[in-house]
Amino acid sequence: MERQHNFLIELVIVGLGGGIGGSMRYMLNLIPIIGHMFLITMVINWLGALLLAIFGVYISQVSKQLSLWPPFIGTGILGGFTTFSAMILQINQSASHNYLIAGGYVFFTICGGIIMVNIGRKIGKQFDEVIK
Amino acid sequence: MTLLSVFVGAALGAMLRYVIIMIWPVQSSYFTAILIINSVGALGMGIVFASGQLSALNGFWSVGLLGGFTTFSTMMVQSAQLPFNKQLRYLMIQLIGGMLCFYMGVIMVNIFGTMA
Repeated sequence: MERQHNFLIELVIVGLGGGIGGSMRYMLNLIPIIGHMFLITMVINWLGALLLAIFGVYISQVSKQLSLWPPFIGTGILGGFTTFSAMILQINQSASHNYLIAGGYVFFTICGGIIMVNIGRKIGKQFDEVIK
Repeated sequence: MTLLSVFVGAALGAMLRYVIIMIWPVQSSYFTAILIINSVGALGMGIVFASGQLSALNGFWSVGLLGGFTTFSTMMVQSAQLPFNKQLRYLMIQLIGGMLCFYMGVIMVNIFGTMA
């Protein structure tokens, strides 16, 4: 397999994608008023889950020609864009004010994420039909 | 300048995540590389939080390195490959693991003192 050979290239590509994804997340946090609210992390995570689900279905059809795209877009950009650690931080910060808000935050983040992945898979399958 | 440190931090975090995913030896629905990655990231976030460094080191450490290292999207897409009840169980394990590790980070700072 050439996979072993390409590992270093893939690693650099993942780093580049992660830098881009993380920078996009940072810039969204800079939006006045809503950027500082913890809701922006929820929206970032929803969006990332939706796009990764679409991309995952799409890439499963055309993976042969696009060997460096999954690490770049999937692991790099979308993996670096979404975040788990900030979510845990937001849960704790909101729990220190109000447990109900913290619980709601967890509920909406997870349920929204599940819904987004399901929508993303459906959209991804539509793409497949267009390609075929 | 902050954007640059976020970029570098997130790039390093993503690369570290990729290496762990690639070398992860366990074949399990629940005990995945992403679980360890997110738990370690939450531990790191607990340490940064308890050190009171969230604003000063925000760029590189919390938004960059820990944010780029941990991932929500991969966790969700991975969980969606399981049957629904297992999916919920996997996500619960992730959340509880993340919360426990976050508190562990806070406790570590209280015992050993701040890192910075």
